[in-house]
Amino acid sequence: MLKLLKKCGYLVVSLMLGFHVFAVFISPAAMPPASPLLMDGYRLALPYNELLFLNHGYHYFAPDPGASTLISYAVPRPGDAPVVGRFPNLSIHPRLLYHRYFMLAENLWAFDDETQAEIQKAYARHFSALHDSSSITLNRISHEPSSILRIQAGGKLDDPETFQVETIGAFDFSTEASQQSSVAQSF
Amino acid sequence: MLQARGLLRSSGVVWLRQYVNGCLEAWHRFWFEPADAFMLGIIRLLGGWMLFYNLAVWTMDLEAFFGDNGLQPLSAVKSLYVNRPIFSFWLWTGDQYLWPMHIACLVISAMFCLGFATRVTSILSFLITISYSQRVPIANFGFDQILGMLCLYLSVGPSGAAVSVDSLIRRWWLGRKGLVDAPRKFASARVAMRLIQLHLCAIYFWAGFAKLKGPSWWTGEAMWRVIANEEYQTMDLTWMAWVPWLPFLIAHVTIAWEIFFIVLVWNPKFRPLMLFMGVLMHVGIGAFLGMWTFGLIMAFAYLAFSDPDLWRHRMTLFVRWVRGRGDESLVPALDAANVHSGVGAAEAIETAVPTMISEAAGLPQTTSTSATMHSATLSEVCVVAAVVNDRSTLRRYLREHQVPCRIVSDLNSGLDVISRYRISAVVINTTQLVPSNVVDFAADVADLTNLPILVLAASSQQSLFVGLDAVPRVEVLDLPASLRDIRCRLQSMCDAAEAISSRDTLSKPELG
Repeated sequence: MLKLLKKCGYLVVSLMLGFHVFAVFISPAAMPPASPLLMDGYRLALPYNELLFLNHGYHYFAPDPGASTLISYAVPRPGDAPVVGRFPNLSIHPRLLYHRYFMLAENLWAFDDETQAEIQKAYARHFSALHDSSSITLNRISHEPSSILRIQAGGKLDDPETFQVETIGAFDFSTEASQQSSVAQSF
Repeated sequence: MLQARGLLRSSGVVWLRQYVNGCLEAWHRFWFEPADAFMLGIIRLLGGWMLFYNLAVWTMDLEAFFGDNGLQPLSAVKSLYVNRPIFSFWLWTGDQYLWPMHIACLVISAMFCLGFATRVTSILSFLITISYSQRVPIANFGFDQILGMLCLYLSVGPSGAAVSVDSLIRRWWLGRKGLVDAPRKFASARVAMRLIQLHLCAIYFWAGFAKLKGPSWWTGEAMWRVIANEEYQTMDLTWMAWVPWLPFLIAHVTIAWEIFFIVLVWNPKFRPLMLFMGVLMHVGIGAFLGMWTFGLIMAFAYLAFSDPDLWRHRMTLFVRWVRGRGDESLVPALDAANVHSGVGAAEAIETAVPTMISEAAGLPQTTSTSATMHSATLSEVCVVAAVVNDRSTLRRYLREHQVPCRIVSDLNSGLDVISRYRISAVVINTTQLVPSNVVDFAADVADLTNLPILVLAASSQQSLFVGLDAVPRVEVLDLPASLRDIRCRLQSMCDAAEAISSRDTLSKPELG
């Protein structure tokens, strides 16, 4: 009886290991473009991968390393120049924390519009509160890496032409304290 | 004709059965052959340190990232996980528990790093890792993925069985009972190591394949675009614009290396090269792109491909080197012993070490002079033991039982002692010694002398000592063994050796 139980246990563990390896390999395989077969396999392993935090694509710097994304903000001050800032910025230490802020700017655009809007509002609230203000304007900055030709021609990595600015919106939280709501005016 | 067909069929069935059995055997060996947990212990120590560092960095901006209304509001994150089996205790705790929970997590990760109550803390550390990562999905990057992967596998295997507080406690406990500890092997250690190895293969395979989808990896510009990314770079590498073939070459080599890693890393000839290139790449990512945490955690995972015996030996040398440098009082003691009595390093170690151990253990001190005088007049037992605790336990026990001994920490010192003194037997505790070196040492001693040699080794490890059974006058005792067993076996071996020598009308076994 004990021998039979041991054999069953061995079989179960072996099957679990086989499934685990399948789950680990299928998750990145199903990154688009992917065949319906791969997608079916991916869906089969998805609950398991999500539970164990294994649902990753491992597409580091792939398919093409692109422009990096930053978020800048301007906090208006009555009768004075607005306070401006951006994240990530190199004054953030240690480097791991810098990367966390970098990812806040970089990864946001992978989520759906509704989540993006909610997170942008959270960023606006956080940085306006940091500067004791109730209003703030956020911008998305794309920073394209300079090409080899540009550098050979005397260009720099931070040439203004390599930056592209797009306004996210202006946020006003002055009414939120009383009404628990905020107004985001999209440009 | 029919007979021939029947024979063919039966031979086909036999072949198929043998093939299936061979596959099952290979599967069993690959996944379940008991393995030393030493490398798992090292990975735990380093991975645990990374986890602790990660949490310590979160401390600096905890409320901004994890607060209910922080940069990633709880409501927004929860809405992402509707009807998904995501685990994160941060999804169920509010702001009022933020700091107490975080401090508890820091304490648990420190315990895990040190290997204290590892069976529990390893599982908790995995849950902590994924809880933090799932709570702030927008702030995640590769480091979190690899840390989660390592913590998962460290909780599967016996990651606290070596290089841990748990193993020290076990050794102390066995020592109290008069037993000597030995490296243990576990099937679960093999499973954990295999899972790390296969996961690394999956990561590189898909990372390489995904790059093939991008034109810039084919044109070679991709590496330049990484290098020229100002938000990543920590060192100005724009000089490469004047040697453009270099980033192009790095791009092509990176893809080739990533895609072929899954095949070549299993080949013993290519494994060192593949791992060396990987370490270079990850150190480069740390040094030039500022992602030290990601680069290091990937490099730490490579230890799953390492030979535990080799690393045990390296670790022993490192610890000895640190001790030699750290405790300056030892250095003059060694020098003084060498200068004044004119003896070699082995004796210097033997005369200096007991003082240190007695001080540490709060035992009455044995003066080096009495030890040296004692050994000069009597034939003795030479004991080789790499682990400090084992040396002190054996020394105390043998001296309590009036067995004169010379205890050294490595095989070379053992040879030195055997060549200088009237030694009657040799004991080798194989813990933390390289098996092939032990066999060579035993063969050397057997060639030069007729001393009986007692080898203490875990039964699970004895297969590693290839050729030891062919060495004359060697006996192997299974570890863990009681000190009494060791002494009795030694006594019987010496009696037998003496009986043989008197029968052959030869003198007592000795050298030099």
